[in-house]
Amino acid sequence: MTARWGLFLLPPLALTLLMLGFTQFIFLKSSVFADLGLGETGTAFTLENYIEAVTDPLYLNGMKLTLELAIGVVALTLVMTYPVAYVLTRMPARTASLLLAAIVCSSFVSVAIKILGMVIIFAGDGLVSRFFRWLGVIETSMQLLGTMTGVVFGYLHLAIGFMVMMLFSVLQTIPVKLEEAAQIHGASRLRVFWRVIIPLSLPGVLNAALIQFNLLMGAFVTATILGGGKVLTFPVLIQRTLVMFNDYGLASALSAVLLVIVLIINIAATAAVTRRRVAA
Amino acid sequence: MSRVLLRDVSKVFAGTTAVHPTTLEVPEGHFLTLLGPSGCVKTTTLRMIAGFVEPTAGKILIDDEDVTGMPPQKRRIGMVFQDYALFPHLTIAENIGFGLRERRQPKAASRARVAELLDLIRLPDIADRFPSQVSGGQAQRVALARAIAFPPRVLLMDEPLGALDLKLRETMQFELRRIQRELGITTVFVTHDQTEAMNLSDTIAVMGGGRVLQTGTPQQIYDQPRSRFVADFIGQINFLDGNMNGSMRLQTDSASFRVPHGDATTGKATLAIRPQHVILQNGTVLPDEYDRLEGTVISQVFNGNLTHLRVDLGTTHWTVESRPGTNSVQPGQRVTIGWHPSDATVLTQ
Amino acid sequence: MRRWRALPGYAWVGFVVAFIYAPILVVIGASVDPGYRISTRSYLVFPPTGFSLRWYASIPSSFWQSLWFSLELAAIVAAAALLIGLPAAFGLVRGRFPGRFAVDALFRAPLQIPVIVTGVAFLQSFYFIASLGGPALQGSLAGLFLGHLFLATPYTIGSIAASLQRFNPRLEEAALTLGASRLRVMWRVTLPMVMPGIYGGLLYAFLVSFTEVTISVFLAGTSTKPFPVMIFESVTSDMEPSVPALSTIVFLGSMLLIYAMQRLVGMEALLRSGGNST
Repeated sequence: MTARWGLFLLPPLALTLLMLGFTQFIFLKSSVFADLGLGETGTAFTLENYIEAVTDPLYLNGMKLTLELAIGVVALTLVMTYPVAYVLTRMPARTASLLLAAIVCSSFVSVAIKILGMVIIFAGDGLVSRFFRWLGVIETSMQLLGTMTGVVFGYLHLAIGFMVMMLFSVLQTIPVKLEEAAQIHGASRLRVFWRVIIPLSLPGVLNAALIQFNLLMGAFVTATILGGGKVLTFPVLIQRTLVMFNDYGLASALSAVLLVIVLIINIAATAAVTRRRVAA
Repeated sequence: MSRVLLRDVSKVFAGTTAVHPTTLEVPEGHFLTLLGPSGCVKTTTLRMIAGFVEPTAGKILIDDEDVTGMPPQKRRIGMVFQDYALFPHLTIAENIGFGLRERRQPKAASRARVAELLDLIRLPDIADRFPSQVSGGQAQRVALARAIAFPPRVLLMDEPLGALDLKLRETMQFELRRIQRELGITTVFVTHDQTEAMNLSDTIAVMGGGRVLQTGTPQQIYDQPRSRFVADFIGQINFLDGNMNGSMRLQTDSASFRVPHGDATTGKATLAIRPQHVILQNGTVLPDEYDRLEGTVISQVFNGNLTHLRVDLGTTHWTVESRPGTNSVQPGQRVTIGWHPSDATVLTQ
Repeated sequence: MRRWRALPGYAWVGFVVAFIYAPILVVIGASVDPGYRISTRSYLVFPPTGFSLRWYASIPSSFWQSLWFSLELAAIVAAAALLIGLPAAFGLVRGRFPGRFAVDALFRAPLQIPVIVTGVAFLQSFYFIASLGGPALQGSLAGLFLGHLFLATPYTIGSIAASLQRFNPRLEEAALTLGASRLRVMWRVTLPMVMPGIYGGLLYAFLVSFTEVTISVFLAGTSTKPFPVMIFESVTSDMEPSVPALSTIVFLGSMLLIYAMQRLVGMEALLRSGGNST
């Protein structure tokens, strides 16, 4: 009787396997053939795409930049959103629900629209520039588009909403009673935070951080638009290679490299978390 | 109303025998309780009768019809679950009428039947409420009404009163028995509460370790337990270990006692006697035919209409039950207790 | 007394929420600016220098078409995601077979691959199929549909599975004892109770498709451009001045949709989802 339910899985499973497997196979296959220009590909198996991907300083710097951005923004976002999530869980339910609803709604808005807003804010004669000019900090207009700062802000913007929601559900699982118990034992609020709340929330937090990291590693729209073609993260480079240079082989190789790095970091992080769990 | 018969029914889960081959019979209109400590045996057995668990071996018959492989929806049984399992998205009336609708009963007749049942469970006003809007006791009655709406051949109940507080529980036990008697439905009831079992049942089957250890009326189980487990599980009892010497006497290190009941066996045995049959020698001397032991008072506990005296007899502790005020003793006091031999039973298991 | 200590926390929360909404509010503000200057990028002004709805009136038909296209596409994707997700969720939650964990991971895999990699992979695959003589999926509705479906289905499965896991199996057993066949149990008891998960899954799939940019950029064609791609191209090349207006319309529409969904399934189900695109 229960065996029957498993059968329902077969069509969706087959479909997912087909889509996943086929697309991954094709793109990996094309990464091992050389590009002969003009949309032609060579017929001999070659690793030159991969060699170029991992030796050319352009791509190496791109990967370094992407990693730094992703890790940095995740860390910054964590610091910014952890208190928010915590306050939300300890707030009266109605207000918290309202605020969470607002955040959820914001996450359903297309990136394109949010980026548009950021372009307006960061443009040469945009808000930020005019604000600093008003403050007297700078003389002429401040162009944030095409700078790292602009991209960082953009990343931050997109990560915060998501992180608040994820951290909220993690912190929700820590009962207030635990904090009260700790306080009865003489711990100050800060100590309660440090010794009770943070350790308990760590696995969930790391999981959320990992997911956010994955998203940022693949971030394309933000870097392209706010980077103005000057901030060359790996996804931006991949798209360029594909669209501007039509070098499918190289683009595939670069994608494969990105995928592998992301996978490795995921596995390493998950293993580290599990080991912590086991040790604890 | 139907007979239920379990013939050599057993259940093995992944190499472990949960239910050893069991034979049980429930006559028409009878109320049988499966009683035992918390664990899965009783519930598993009940679920086999319901059809949610397939027996590894044996046959289940309802009215001589072999239902062993039959899915639950075809067995014409009713079931009341521990958490009531009322459908949250339907009203009380729709819940009760659920089975009627599934069995294609005409709407007018169904409506009348639902109203009739609401009267039976004495809750005529809650028809349009939702399960989240009724109390635990009310939900329990609704669950019962739903189970008997389309009269089932057998009614199964899995610890239905477990979630209620004591006062409500006692009221519900009374209600349940009343309704069952009125409708005459064959019922199999599962509980770990021996008082409940004794209040409700025509027959009790005491289960433990995956087996039925003893079947009988509440009186039989109480007065003539056939094993230590059963004796200890039902009510309170005192034990005295020793050896049978083959001549109707139990031999301990210090004395020997007559045991008129039971077989004249030899070997390890236990004398068992209920606290209310043990008397404290107090002023008046105990009659000659009484057996006696000496011990030290440990404590005296007042239980409302009874007093329980704990006495240390050296090898074991006994409880003496009496009316308050009849014994005034102090902890540490040496006392003599006695009993009439015919009030004691000998157990060899 | 205690209240004052909570103030910095509340203030920070307020700041973060404002920070999140800033770009959206800016877009709305820019959409009503009457400014008409010659140089590019000057259309995008905040705070608005006045109030005018002219941009709303002057949204080009190509933009309206792409919006309509996005809606249609999202609807088909949502429907397909449900068709695939419903049996998948049931099989996942109720099936008893070795390797359930692996199947669960497999269904979640699309979300763990960086979207850009998925874009490249799908594009390459479409070219490959075309080169074999098959249909040209790149730039087609079908191609976009497949790409979006790939991304949306995991969310639908997750939503329905979560709802299903909370479902009390006793309810099904009770229904069986009352004489309902397995099919009737599904129809009268299980599905109604899993509805919040289904609605949530549908909404999620719809929004994932509707708002998706990266995959759409890779797989869109000249006549099959979802509106996020129109906005993307507008921002990167020729700025169409009515883009903030269109964006505001879309934003308000999305809010309405979410509000409607919330009435249907309640806050809980919605909070469990939550878009994330970069």
